[in-house]
Amino acid sequence: MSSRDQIGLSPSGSEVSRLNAWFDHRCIASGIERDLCTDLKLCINEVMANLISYGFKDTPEPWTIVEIDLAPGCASATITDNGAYFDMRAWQVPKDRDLMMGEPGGFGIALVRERASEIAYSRNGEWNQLRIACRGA
Amino acid sequence: MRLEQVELPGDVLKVKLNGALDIAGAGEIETPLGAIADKYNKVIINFADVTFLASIGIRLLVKAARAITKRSGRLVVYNPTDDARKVLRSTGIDSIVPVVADENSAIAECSK
Repeated sequence: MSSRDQIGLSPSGSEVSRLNAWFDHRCIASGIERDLCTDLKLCINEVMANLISYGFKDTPEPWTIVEIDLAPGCASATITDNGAYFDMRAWQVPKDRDLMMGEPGGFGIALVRERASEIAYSRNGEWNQLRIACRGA
Repeated sequence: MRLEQVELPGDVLKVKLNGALDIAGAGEIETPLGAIADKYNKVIINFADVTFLASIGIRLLVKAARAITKRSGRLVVYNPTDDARKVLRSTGIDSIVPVVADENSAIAECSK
């Protein structure tokens, strides 16, 4: 049986804390595998951090909706936002870089790619929709 | 997120983090951790009570490690949870910030 829910939030650190508390509560209530919750929570956090840092520079009223579907063996989230077009699947993750040099970025997208089993993206009018699914081994 | 610091013998600064190192937690410790990295050459960070680690926390560690290493100092993380250890390993930061099991190992590592 799956557990579905959604939360709307504005892009700020305190809102991400509220999101995390909500997500932790839903995960415990769902009873699904802890690893799936850990992976999906990390993915959602990385997407939110990216949105807060870069996604809403030209958006007068930024808004994000996170919908989750937690089921044994598969936890997924659909993140919908009215920020700038951004398809993380096309972003090149730096390889073999020297961590002592340059801008220390790109870790978040690399983590999402590592933890997610599926990443789907679409742009509908002014809205981005990103779906991330984490599956058990 | 809470940051506590204690000076140990041998000019080692022990930092203890408590809470989630997410975007909110990182915002709370960015300034104090930056100040520590600018002042101390031997810094060990107890990660036992870091309940969640996201990439924004990794960025803070990279910045601190760069500042400390520039002065030939050393930043060492110890006792992370399994989840945090996985993130540290995945991002490759353990190549510039040693990750060890306990405080004694951290002190030994940063005194090399």
